[in-house]
Amino acid sequence: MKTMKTMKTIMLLSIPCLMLMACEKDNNDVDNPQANNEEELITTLKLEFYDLSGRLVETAIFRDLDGDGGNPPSQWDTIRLDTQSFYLCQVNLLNEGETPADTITHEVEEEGTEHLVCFTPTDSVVNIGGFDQDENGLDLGLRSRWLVTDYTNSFVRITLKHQPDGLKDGTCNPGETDIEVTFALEAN
Amino acid sequence: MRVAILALLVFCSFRVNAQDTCVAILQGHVVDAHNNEPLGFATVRILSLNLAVLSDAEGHYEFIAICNGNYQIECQHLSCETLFDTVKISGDTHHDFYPEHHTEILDAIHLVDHHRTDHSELEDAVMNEMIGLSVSDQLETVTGLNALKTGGNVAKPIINGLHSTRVVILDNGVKQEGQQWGADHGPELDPFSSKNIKVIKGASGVLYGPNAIGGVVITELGNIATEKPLETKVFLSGASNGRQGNVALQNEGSFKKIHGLKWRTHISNLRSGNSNAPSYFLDNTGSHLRNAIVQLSYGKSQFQTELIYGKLRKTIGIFSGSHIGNLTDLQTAFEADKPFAPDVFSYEIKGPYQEVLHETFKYKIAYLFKSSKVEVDYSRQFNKRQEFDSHSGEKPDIDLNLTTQAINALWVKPSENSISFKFGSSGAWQKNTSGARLFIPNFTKNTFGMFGLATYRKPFWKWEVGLRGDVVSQKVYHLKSGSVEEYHYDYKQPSASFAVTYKKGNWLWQQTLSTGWRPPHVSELFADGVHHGAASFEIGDTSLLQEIAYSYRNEMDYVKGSWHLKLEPWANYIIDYIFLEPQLEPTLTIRGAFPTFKYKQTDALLFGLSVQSDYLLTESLKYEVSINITRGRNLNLGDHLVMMPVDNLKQRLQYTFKDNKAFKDNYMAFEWNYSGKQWRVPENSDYVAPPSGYALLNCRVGTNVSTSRINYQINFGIDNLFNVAYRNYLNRLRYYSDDLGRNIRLSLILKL
Repeated sequence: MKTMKTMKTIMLLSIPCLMLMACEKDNNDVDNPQANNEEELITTLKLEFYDLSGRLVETAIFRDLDGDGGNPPSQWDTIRLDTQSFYLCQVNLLNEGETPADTITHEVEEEGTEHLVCFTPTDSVVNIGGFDQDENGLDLGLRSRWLVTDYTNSFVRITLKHQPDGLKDGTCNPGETDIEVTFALEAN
Repeated sequence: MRVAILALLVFCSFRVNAQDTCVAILQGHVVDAHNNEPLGFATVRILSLNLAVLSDAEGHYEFIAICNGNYQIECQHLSCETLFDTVKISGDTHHDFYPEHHTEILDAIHLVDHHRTDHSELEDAVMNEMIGLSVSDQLETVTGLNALKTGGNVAKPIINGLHSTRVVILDNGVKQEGQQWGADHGPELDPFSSKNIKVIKGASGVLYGPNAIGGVVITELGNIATEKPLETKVFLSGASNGRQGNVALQNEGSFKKIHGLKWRTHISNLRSGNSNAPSYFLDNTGSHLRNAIVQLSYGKSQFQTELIYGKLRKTIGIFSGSHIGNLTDLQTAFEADKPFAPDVFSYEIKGPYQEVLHETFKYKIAYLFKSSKVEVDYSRQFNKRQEFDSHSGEKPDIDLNLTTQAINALWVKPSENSISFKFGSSGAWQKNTSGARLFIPNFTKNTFGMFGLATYRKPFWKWEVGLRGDVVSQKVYHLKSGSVEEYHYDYKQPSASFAVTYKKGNWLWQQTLSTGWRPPHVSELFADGVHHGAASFEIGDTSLLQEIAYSYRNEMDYVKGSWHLKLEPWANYIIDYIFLEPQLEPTLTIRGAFPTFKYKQTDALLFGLSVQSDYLLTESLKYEVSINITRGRNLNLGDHLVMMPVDNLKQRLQYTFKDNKAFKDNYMAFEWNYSGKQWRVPENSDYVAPPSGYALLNCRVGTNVSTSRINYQINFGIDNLFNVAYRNYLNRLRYYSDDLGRNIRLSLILKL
């Protein structure tokens, strides 16, 4: 009888202990935080303008090295172009937080069916077209052709959209904005 | 005839002997303190005279020929706590007894006092109607409660305008610790595993410690009552919207060999696909919840012990049309007629989605001494929240691990001389780490508190006074440009409560003054970045102080014949209320300019009124109406508070059909819910105007089928019967799409 009682007591005590031991554990150190899987940071948007002979004639840069918040952007250029001239515009995305700077443009190109660069000029004299295309024949926009027909002192908004899971339909509406920078544009 | 004469003679002689001083009649009723039901077969005993009578079926009792004077009278009922009242008899005297339901020995830690009316309990009928919906959705049926939603599959309770870290969720007596700070982080609750759901409105710092400034939600599995070796309950429910299918199985039994040892297992599986608005599907809004619970209890004479282990997992898809990168996206999405997302049905959950694991272990021991009771429990919770975005693929973008251990001790001294006491203490140790992006910094948090509560009862009156002190110590490890900064925070705060209840005849009147407090959460101290989905840049403040709430409630309950009225005016004054203040300068990023908000403190006043009434038009037709009004004021800025519940009006007409042989409690009801437009919004805090008001019609049908062998409860319901396209101010989905369209639900509870 006494052994039965002891047995019962042992059982009553051991079941909770065993269950507690089987509980999920967190093995991370609380006092040593690790920044894992940080978001791919894009610090810099660089626009390169080539003339018809393939010569680099203008570069416009937006640069915010410390990412969202913190210090304001360290560089934010005005695009200066000539009127009545054709330009080829190449969009470059860089992470200059790393050395050497990481070119993110390649990743966007590889996932071309999920990305789209959109250009929204505020002045109708700025004509942007002739975009490069993704595998599905939809616009990608990393390369484009620009023509400014008249004098202007206006703005162009450049947007990079992430449109995964079949969201991409050729328009700029769906998806999530990865980049949105408005440059001032002067053409004489 | 002879007997009667004899009795008369005896009576007369008694009268003569008593010389006119012992002719008093003492009579009254024994009434359940909880629901005003009369209690028959209660023994009422005058201790000094050793006279006892039984109350009849109407709860009435009567002593005749009693001498004037003061008497100790005991009132005993099988399922109630024994009451001792001192009654002064001078002439014919009326005295009513209000015994409490005998709270099971293991229930006391919840400290739910049935005499208080400031807790609302969801009735079984309501729970049956809402089965398969989340606990937060079920709670919306309580006047003064709302749900803060993110789409159709994340909902969290709002009590009188307050939510998240300002509301405590007590699940099986364990203060639930998850990542409650996030507006899109719903509580880790399985809608099928709660036998009881209760709400306490208003600051409840004394009993529930830090964070209980808005109120408390109490969910319970309940005690295992069965004496049979096996009892089975099966829950099946389905819903058209989201093509939802839920199944839960609950088994419980009592071991024959070891007397007093009982067990229960519970498993649930809830699955839903893309839900739909009236005219389109909402892509990637499926969800999947799995839950398993084991409960063991052992009781022998004065000793009781209980073990609960539960593991809940949920996977929740985030509407792909709501995943936006900046304000332009939000504006575009809001202006579009239809969301920019595929309009198809699917059960598949892809990025972005949330994956949450919540594990609870609890062990409790209670011992009943001769005139008091002691309870000690230990609990451990582990909460893992992973959030995957559409970029992150296999690896989570957010991976937070929160481990909480807590010990509670409670000493209860039930009433003997109409005063009862409760003393308790609780300690908790918490650790939060991140395995991915450091969205909130790592921290440890230790809490310790002690409280005492005294209750004094007199006929018709009850006074209750409580006091508590808490200490919270928090260490934060903040990684900034490669090095770890350590912050140390200490908070100390007393809490107090005072309540008076008066209850006589048809009237119940209760006033409560109480306080509560909340230390700032690390997310408010250290936020610094874009809040996805809200398209705002939020900046924390490491110097925030604790919030202190003073709340006042006044409740009046009146019953007259078939008419019932309940009025609840309330106010909650919060010192150093933490809120997001809009800043003039937007934050400029490579993703565009974001409206910027800073965590600031202000004094805030929330106040409101709930009115509830029901009336039996005929024996089988019942009309119910409720009105809820909530106001929130930012006193320092002289402005409104953001995200306050909209004024609403609910009406219900229920027809109860006659019971027949197998079908019982048959009814059909229509509900008409009207919500106004929220125009009381602070300036510059919202990018789009609040949606206009709307009215929804719901239909409910329920019946209980019982044969000698099995018992079914069947419920059928249609929410949003007319498939009205509307947007709800408290649902973040309103930026991107209409709210849910018509939902036809069918559920079956089977008892074997």
